Amino acid sequence: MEFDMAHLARLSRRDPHDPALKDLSEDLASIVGYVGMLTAVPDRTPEEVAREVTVGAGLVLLREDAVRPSFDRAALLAASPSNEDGCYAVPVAIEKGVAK
Amino acid sequence: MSASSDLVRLDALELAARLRCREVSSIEATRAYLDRIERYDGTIGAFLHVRGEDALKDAESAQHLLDAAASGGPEAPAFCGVPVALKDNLCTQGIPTTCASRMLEGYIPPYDATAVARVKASGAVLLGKLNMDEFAMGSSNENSSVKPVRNPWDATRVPGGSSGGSAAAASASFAAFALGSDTGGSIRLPAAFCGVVGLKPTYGSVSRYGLVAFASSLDQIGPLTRSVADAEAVFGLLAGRDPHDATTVERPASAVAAKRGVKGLRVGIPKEFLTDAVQPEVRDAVKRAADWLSAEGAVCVECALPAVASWIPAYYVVSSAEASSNLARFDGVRYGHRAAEYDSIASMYSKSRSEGFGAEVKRRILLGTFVLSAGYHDAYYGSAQKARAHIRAGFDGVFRDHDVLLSPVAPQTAFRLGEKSGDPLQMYLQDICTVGASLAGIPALSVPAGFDGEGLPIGLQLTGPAFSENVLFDAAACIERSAGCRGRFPDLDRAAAAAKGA
Repeated sequence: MEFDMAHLARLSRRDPHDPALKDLSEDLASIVGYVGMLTAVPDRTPEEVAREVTVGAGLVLLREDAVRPSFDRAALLAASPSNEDGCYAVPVAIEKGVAK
Repeated sequence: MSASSDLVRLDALELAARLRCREVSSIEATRAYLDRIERYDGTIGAFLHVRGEDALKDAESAQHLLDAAASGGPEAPAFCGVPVALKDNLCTQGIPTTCASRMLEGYIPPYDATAVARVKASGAVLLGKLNMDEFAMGSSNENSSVKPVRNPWDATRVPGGSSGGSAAAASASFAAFALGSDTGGSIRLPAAFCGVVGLKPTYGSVSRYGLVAFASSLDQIGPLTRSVADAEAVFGLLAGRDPHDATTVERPASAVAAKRGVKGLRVGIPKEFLTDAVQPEVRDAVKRAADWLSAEGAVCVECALPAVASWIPAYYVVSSAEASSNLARFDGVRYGHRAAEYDSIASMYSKSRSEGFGAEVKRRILLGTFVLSAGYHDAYYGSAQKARAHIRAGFDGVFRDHDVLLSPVAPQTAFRLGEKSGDPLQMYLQDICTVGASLAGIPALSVPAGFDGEGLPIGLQLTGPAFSENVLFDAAACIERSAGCRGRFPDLDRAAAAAKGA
């Protein structure tokens, strides 16, 4: 199977020009070839799958909808690579005067 | 208590008892562990972060509680003063948590994982954070971005992964017990390779809050210990409902029933895991363990497990799909590595991720992205979910006739460093015996059951229906009693010499 590695890289927010993608393409071919045997699994209705795929207790319990203390804002910002004026600092996403 | 080498070899419950009666102090125990880590961990590589003086301060605080309890004050908590260590994917407030990844280098969480909070509430002293495969992706601990972990029984071999640091730390007596996480075998495989007990609990038993997510429908936190009784005690303090993890439940009353032994226990031995592909000494260990269980009244018979051929494919599709989604959050904005040079926000994301993640993580993100992508989703991810339903139904059928399944944990004992790292598919096949329980969400435990001809530990797996941990502990205790592995410890001086010669 041939893979569009540049497309997969973009989907996974990777550099599509990363030279390591060539080796990964070979690994992917081997792994996908192996997991391809899954296509032989007998079909089931989505309802059957949904019911049977629940794991463990198979329950989802929600917590009480109550106000409670949250994280300290300064502690969260301190974990970031950079921050300014109480906000996460990121590169400019929309530049002035370049609209087309 | 005499020599510190004896002190560090005590089981956690035994040490806790001696601390309570003040035969030994927490400071003495903590110092003994820190000295041992200092002396030998340069060879083993189990720790990524050792707390040193901070651990000694915590030991002092624990000792105050123990002293107060001895003077008629409030009872000290269960593991008060017992030194322990944690896998580095468990968030620890104020202590680095890196998942052995460059991506999280320097990250210090602002909160404790629920499992960590529960361990702290038990009075345990945290010695440090343990090495692992990056983001828990691996079966040999060779995928750590910092350094590989070496097996204490033979330092030229892997400790198993991904909780390799946790297993090595318990095995090498670097901590009284360790916590790890298991997504497809990441507690059980290293426990088997390093000769310790490791439990993957029923999905929903232990809160995942604060566990850095790999595959959310599979991840569970569990103990790695030097005895079955310790594993049971640590599981008891971890398990239970947590409002921060909606999948957690209280254990049903039947799951915390009193000991019943193995008399009348119906033990199935899946013939799929006794083929020629399995190391003969491992196959023999399964047969010996069946004899031990039978001698105590269990009824052991061969059985067939349906759909085993689909276990590995289904696991690697589901886990990689979930990993590709979970790891999308690492984009260099809120925490983690950010590339130094970029020319747009898109290039900041891609460069940060390309630089921050290691090869195996990138491989699984790409696989997960592929199986979820348009045109392939139904053929791969959809089929894997159907296969998972079949696997779960297969276990349900087997457990109508059997209470517990006995099998190898891995097809062979610990392999050499570098032996399989060049072929990802061969590495994935290490998980052949363990991923079934993960996909079904049922508990499974690895217990030491002897050694092979090269002196390497053999671990056996016990698997049961949801919330049957108490049955697994009973069966494991029988194997532990008969195998005679307790009281045998790896020779770390020999390990150091072997590592130098390798």
